[in-house]
Amino acid sequence: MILIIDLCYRKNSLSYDEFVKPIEKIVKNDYTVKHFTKITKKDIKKSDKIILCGNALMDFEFMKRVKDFEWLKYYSKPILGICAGTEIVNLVFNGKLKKDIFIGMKNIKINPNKLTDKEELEVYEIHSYSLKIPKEFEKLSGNNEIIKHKEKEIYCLMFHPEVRNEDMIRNFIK
Amino acid sequence: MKLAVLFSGGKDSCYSLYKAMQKEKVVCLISLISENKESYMFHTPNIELVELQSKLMNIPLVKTSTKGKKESELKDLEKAIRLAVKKHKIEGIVTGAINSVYQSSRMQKICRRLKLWCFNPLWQVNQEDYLKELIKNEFEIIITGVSAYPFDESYLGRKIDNDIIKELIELKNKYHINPAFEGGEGETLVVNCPLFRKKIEILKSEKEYKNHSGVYIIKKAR
Repeated sequence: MILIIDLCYRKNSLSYDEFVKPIEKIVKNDYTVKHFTKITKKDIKKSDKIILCGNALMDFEFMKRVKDFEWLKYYSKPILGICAGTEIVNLVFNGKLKKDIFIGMKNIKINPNKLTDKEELEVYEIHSYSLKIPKEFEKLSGNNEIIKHKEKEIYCLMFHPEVRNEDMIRNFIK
Repeated sequence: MKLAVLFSGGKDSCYSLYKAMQKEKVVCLISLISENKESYMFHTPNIELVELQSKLMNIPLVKTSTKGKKESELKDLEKAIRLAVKKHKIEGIVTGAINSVYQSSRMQKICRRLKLWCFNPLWQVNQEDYLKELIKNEFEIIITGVSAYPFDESYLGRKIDNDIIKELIELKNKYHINPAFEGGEGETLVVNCPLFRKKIEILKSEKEYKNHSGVYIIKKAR
C-alpha cells in the first residue's frame, strides 16, 4: 500500500484537488491518503512506499511541525518527496532551505535514475526555496532539483512531476 | 479565507467557484473585459454576461477592461486584483486553470507579488471525467465559441450534454483536441448551475462563423 501524505494547510482543504488529487490519479490503485496531522504509527507500518505531496506557494503550515516528521529518518522503505515534501525530508535530515523563488517551466540536466532514464527534463517548478542538502544525500541535478539519499530509496524533487512528468511517479511506484 | 474567483462566465471559472465555495469564503468575482478577441488569457464572447451571472449568484463583481495585448492584459489583471484586495480584503485568488502552465504560472507570479494565495481546484483533472462531473452537478453549459478544426457552425449555441461529451471524446481520439477546450478550441457559457437563483434566458442571439472559427453572440438575455 502506498501512503500519500497531504501537506496542505488543513485536512480536506481547497489545495487538495490541486496537489493531492493529481497524484492519486497517477497512482490509481492500492493507496491511502492521510493529512500530515492525522498520520498514525499504524499507517506508517502498513505502507510499502510513501509519497509526500506538494502544496501552495503561500502554505507554510507543515513547517511549524517538522518534529512530527522525525520518523521519516527511520523509515526503511522508498519515499518520494515532491516540493513541500522534499523540503520536509531535507529539514528532517538537517539540510537547509535557501530563499529562492521560482515559478514556471525549466529545463534541467540530470543523472538518470530509477525515476527517469532521461538526461534532460522540462519540469514545472513552483517553490519559495531551494535546497542546501544534508550529507546523507547526493544531488542528481545541477541546482538540487532532484536529490537522492546515498543509501536509501529516498528521492526528492523540487518540481512537480504530476505536471508533464507523470512517468516519474509511475516509475517510483513500480 | 476570503477569496476572489477569476471569472469569465464559462464552465471552468464557474465550476472552480462552485468548488471554492464548498471550502472557503468567496467574497467577489474578478472579470477582465478584453477588447481583443484573441486574448491570451481571457475568454471574450459574451463576457458582458458576467454581470448578470454575478447578480444571479449574489456575489459582487470587480470588473475592469483591458486592451487585451499579451503582457499589458496581465498588468490590467493585477490592477483588478489590487482593487479586489482593497475593496473586499481578499486573501487569495481562485482560477479555473486545468493544464495550462502558461496561464497558471502567470497567475502564481501575480499572487506571489501581491502576497495572495493561489488556488487551482481543476488543476490536472481528467477532462472527460470533468465534463461528466459538470453534468452530474447540474451545470447547464452552452458552447459560445469554436476556433479549431473540425468544429463547424452547428456546435455554436449547443448545450453540453452526454451526447456531445461522447462526440468530444471521439474528436479527441481522432484530432487530438482537448475535450474540455483547454487548448482554446472553444469557449463556453454557464446558463444555469446550483449557484444561480434562476436560469439565464437567452432572448436574442446570432452566430458568426468562418473557417472553423465562430462565436455565438448573445444579444439579449435575462
